[in-house]
Amino acid sequence: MDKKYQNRRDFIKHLAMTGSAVALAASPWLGAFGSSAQSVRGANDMVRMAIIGTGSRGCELLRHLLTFSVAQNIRIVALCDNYNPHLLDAVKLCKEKELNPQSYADYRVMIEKEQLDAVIIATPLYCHAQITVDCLQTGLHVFCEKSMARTLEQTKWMYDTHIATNKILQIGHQRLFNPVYLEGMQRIHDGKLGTIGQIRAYWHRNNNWRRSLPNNDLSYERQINWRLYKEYSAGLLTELMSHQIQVANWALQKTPVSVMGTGSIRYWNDGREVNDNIALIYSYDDGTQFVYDSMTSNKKYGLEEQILGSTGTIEFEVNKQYLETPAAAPGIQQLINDVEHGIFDKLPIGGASWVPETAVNYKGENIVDSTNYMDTSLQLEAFTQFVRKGSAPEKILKEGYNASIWTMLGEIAIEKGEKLSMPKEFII
Amino acid sequence: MKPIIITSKSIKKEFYIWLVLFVCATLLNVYSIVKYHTNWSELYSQLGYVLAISIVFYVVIGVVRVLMQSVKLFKK
Ligand SMILES: NC(=O)c1ccc[n+]([C@@H]2O[C@H](COP(=O)([O-])OP(=O)(O)OC[C@H]3O[C@@H](n4cnc5c(N)ncnc54)[C@H](O)[C@@H]3O)[C@@H](O)[C@H]2O)c1
Repeated sequence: MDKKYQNRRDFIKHLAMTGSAVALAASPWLGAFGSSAQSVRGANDMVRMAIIGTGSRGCELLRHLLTFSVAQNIRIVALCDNYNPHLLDAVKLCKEKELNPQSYADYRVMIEKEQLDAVIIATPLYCHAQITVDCLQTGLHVFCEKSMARTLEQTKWMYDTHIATNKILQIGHQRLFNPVYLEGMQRIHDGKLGTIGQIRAYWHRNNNWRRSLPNNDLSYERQINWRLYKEYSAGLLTELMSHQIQVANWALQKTPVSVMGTGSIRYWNDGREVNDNIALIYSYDDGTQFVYDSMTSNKKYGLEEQILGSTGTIEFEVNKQYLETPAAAPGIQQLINDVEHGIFDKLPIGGASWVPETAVNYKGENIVDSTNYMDTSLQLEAFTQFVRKGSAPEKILKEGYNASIWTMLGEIAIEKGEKLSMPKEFII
Repeated sequence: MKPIIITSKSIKKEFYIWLVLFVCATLLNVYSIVKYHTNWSELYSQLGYVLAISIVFYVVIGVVRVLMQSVKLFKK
């Protein structure tokens, strides 16, 4: 959180000033985010929230909330975690801001006892569904971290409960609120990149992913290192790829028709069950592919989502757009360049019959000027607005739902070694 | 040591030499706009480049002039 925080108001002002108000109008969730009209509650009514799961992400979300909770009239009423050291971390963060929320080890007791409007769930993946459903059925609005759920059935169960209870369910895909993505998506949807043939994405790290255990006590292994065990997580797929398949679906404004993939434990042979390297290909009905890979034993290429169009490319993570035929340099600069080449380049005796087609060396243009926005804060601010309004645009949940379903299908495709399509019962 | 006297006449002369070179650089800009079919707005947007080229020309011409002066002195 080292960026200077620019909030929802700054963001909307900036969109209007840069002419990107079109993007605002075109994104249904942003439109709703921008207005506070038709709220079930007053625009400034207090929103009473609790956080369930105050581990690393839960505390991060809490830090973001605390930056605007006073301005947005949000009261953090309670915190819940079944692992006391993590609960104490969150309590400490609140104390620093002179807040004194109630602490709980069992969320069921908390939602029964406390008067809440909404909860934020940042527990391990395998318990997202049960906690979400319990909260929705108690009449609470829910913000649940990505990936939505551990199985196809759980994902659908969460969605169905949201429909049945008519309570908000927002999944933590923060890129949906990131100005770089919003502006870039607008350009893609306006056809500025031509025909999208492929989307490539990757997330490469060179780290273990294993967390150390308190006093090396092995009884904590599965609780602390839940990401490494299939019972609780699909590893790289749910932890990393779920963000990027969401970006691909958003860019193409559709969901895939099939997926195939492979994966293995190539490097971290330490008893973990989830793959440490994966590669998948998702196909869409118009022939576009989403080509994905992720690994944890090399970080040279980091992470990226590359949208490859016939007239341009977007690389979202670095805020760049590249044209296939960049605007020519000014004449005088071309002249100097030609003179330089004429003097210094060696003349080939015969024309080259083969030229290596290495990457185009062109720096591209920034998609947006300022990247001083924190998408995680913006999505939480949006959630607060939606809670006041009593509803959120369905599109946001559908993005999370489809990302989760296709992430799960990716896992099954890898396990079965088959090409899979979406079972009819999961189409919404 | 003999003091070096820079007269206003010599400053004017140098200024005119540079002005001619600046005009030459501008003509070069016009030529490249035509040759590479680029925008006429480059006549002012590329003024910085034109200025830099005129200074390079001035330095090159300066070196040539110093050499010529030295040859003249040597012949005397
Ligand atoms: N959106 C993002 O960029 C992003 C980033 C990191 C993590 N996440 C997601 O956030 C979630 C949490 O990840 P994390 O890294 O914070 O994990 P973590 O293990 O650090 O924290 C999870 C916490 O939940 C607690 N918990 C487990 N079961 C509970 C229960 N029944 N009731 C209350 N608390 C319970 C654990 O004790 C732990 O403190 C995951 O779903 C992860 O995918 C999202």
